[in-house]
Amino acid sequence: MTACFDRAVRRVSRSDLEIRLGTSEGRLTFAGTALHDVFAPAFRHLVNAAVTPSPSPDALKVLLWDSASSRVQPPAPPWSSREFLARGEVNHDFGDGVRLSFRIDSGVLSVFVPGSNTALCWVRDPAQLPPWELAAPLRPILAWWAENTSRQLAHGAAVGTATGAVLLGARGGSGKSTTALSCLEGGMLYLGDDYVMLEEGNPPVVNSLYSTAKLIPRNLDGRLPRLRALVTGHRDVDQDKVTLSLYDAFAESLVPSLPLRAIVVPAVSPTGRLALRPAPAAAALAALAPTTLFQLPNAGAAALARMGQIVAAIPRYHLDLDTDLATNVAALRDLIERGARA
Amino acid sequence: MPDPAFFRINAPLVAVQEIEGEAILINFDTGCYYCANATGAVLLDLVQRGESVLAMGAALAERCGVAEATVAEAVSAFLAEALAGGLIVAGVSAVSVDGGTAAGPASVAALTYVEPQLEKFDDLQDLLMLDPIHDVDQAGWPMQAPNPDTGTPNSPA
Repeated sequence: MTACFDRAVRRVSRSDLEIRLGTSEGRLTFAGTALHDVFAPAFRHLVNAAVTPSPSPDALKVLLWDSASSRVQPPAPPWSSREFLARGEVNHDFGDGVRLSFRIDSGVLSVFVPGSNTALCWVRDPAQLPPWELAAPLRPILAWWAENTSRQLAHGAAVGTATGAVLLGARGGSGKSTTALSCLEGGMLYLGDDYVMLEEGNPPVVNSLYSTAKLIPRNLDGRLPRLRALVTGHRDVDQDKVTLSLYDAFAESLVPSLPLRAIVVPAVSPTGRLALRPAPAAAALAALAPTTLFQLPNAGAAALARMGQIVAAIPRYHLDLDTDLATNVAALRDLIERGARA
Repeated sequence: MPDPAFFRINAPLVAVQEIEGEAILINFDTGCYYCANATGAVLLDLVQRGESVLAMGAALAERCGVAEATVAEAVSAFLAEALAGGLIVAGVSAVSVDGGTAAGPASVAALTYVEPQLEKFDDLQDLLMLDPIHDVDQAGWPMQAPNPDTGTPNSPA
């Protein structure tokens, strides 16, 4: 695979992108510009936000190339097509803990070598990538790297203030994205809408991965019309969501990390009025873990345990969302301040 | 041979996590996930410790300060539901070595008896769907078959 990447670089040149990943870094090395141009925008807020002058020992290194522009194909898979499983997994032992996933629906191959924290990403054709790959690139590689370095990806939104953040975890249709974007519009700091990276600690830390968001057009037009200008050309037809690129309008509000003060499970209020009440840890974990782990290849008991430890360490709340978005924003600000004082 | 009087967690297809007296189970084969209440979590812990069904009933009754006859039928029903959901499988009469072993000593804190329950959620099953219909590109990697109506690749789930 590395030889394929080297051939691709010789054909179409090379560029590097260095990004901050929590307290560590990632170096993405692209062969050519086609793949760089579609993946880099999601990471813009993490560029030039290096933690230390020299790379951390657990820094992630990713080599990326595509066949459409380089005309370099990967080697044929040495297993039958029957071995391709759900979550992009492949029923094959690669040895030395190597992880591999291939998404048939997007033509993205991801490989991770835990011993060296290096990875390869091959894309058949960047122009054919589905919207969710553009909104949240390299998700399998980031998930494996996170696991290898005692971190954990989580499917959830996170917003905050200077004193900390809340993690919004819930199933689709709960108002998570609308709430997160209304917080951003209301002057709060933003770490993500879809996936963030958690680190254990006292308090735990939530790290940003992507500067994008996805929203149902009805909610965008009806509740957050000023964000219409941020819609990219990528529309997820099946989920009926549009992708928003947040960097140009909100660069100063997109932060790489914040202490995690609370987990909030939002839901549409039956009364239309805000209601906040403590949530059992099991309810918060049920809101976060299944939707995370069902979408990450090879995620299992260890990831569930890591998420459980983080959930158990901080306050959790059910939040019935008010129809007035500003009321929800104020409630989340208050939760963060309470958590910071505790 | 597996003994139906014993069970084990169906790892690695199933992951279970105890959290503050309750438990979350995720079945990566079916795409369903479950919440077990406090007494259900006790039973799952006992499964992971390799206890027999009879011993589980006795242990739960003692924790809750009720007669074994009070819990026996509910324990059987809980285990039957967990078995039907693929969460547990028949085990052997020893501590399970196939994963899912409980960490730390068993809790002996008193518990108010409520029938052990498993709440099932299947709203995320679509996330584990695998599109079986695909072509293969010139490099040998699968690709989505074109939509028979439009001739373009299907939009994925």
